[in-house]
Amino acid sequence: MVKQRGRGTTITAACAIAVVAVGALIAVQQLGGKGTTVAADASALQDVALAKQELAGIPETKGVLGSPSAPATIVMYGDLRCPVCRQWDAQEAPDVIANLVRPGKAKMDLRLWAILGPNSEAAHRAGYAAMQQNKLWLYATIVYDNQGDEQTNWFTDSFARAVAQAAGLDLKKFDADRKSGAADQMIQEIDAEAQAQGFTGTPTIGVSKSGGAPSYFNGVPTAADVAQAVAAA
Amino acid sequence: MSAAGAVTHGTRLDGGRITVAVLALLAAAIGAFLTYERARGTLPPCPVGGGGCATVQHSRYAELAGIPVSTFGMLGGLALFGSTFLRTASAPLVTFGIALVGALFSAYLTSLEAFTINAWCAWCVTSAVLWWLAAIVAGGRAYRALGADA
Repeated sequence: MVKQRGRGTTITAACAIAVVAVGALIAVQQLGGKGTTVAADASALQDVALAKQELAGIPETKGVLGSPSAPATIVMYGDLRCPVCRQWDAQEAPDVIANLVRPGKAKMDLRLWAILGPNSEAAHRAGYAAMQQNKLWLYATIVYDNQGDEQTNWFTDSFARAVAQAAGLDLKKFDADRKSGAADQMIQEIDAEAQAQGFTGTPTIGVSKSGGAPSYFNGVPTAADVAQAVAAA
Repeated sequence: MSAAGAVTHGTRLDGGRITVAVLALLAAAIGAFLTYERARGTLPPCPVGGGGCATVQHSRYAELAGIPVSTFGMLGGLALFGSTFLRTASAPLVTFGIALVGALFSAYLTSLEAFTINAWCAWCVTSAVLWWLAAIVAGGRAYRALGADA
């Protein structure tokens, strides 16, 4: 009896130590995942290679990813600082790109709608500059993969340039374009578009037969929902 | 701990030790594969579950303190494997401790897949199953070994 109680105590102690160790690991991961600070140089950015692989070989023209002759268009109003957009970009966009955009069934138009204040506008000026080099999608994907806390102004100048460098942009042109009046004009135009259509948040996603008016989803669609809408367009 | 006791562990409990060692090697192999795929910048092929592996690997939970979680899986598997060769009285308990940490952390990662990431990575789930099997076998082995020592 004493022997059984002794080994029971030892096993319990081992379990307790294991639980504490795992708790510490989880705490480290959770704290690391809050993203209150973001990378300030290109080498510290995460998943750049994955983003490049996801988009490799797909043409982009002025923010529209995919073949210009694709029969359907997927329109996405997104904010680069929006965590739900980040989630959609990580969870659904890879399937949409692999199954619809890459085979030429649809193209995707990313409309940068700043809904989270001046720091979003700064992010979208950078997005505009990336678009001028036909790398908006790569830029946006890297930004999403390295996104900071929504409650902070994490989109800093150094972060903007780090992502630009990682995406292979011409930094001189990038800096000039994001400070241009055209960048502000794009932000205002997209804001007016979104407000006119009564959108309430990002991401707002719609599908149209190319050239037609998009039908927008209520809520955030899955990749399967988008595929179904493209097939029906 | 007597020398006779050490011999007892080395003979009577071979089955459990070999089982844990094999499970550890399989878990380490999965961790190594996912680490290699990540280092190459490629997305791991997902045998089942659609693009879930890419989604999980793409998520912010795929790293711990800047190190890929799969690397921890690989190193943990190797540590577990190595522990099965220890010949001290506390060796079965050490093996059990490592296996239990791996199993509990795998359970946490699996819960993230289910409730936070909303995607399943078949490699990660397989690894979690291996860790739990290892913990169960190692737990029984430790329990018996402690009884033999007392």
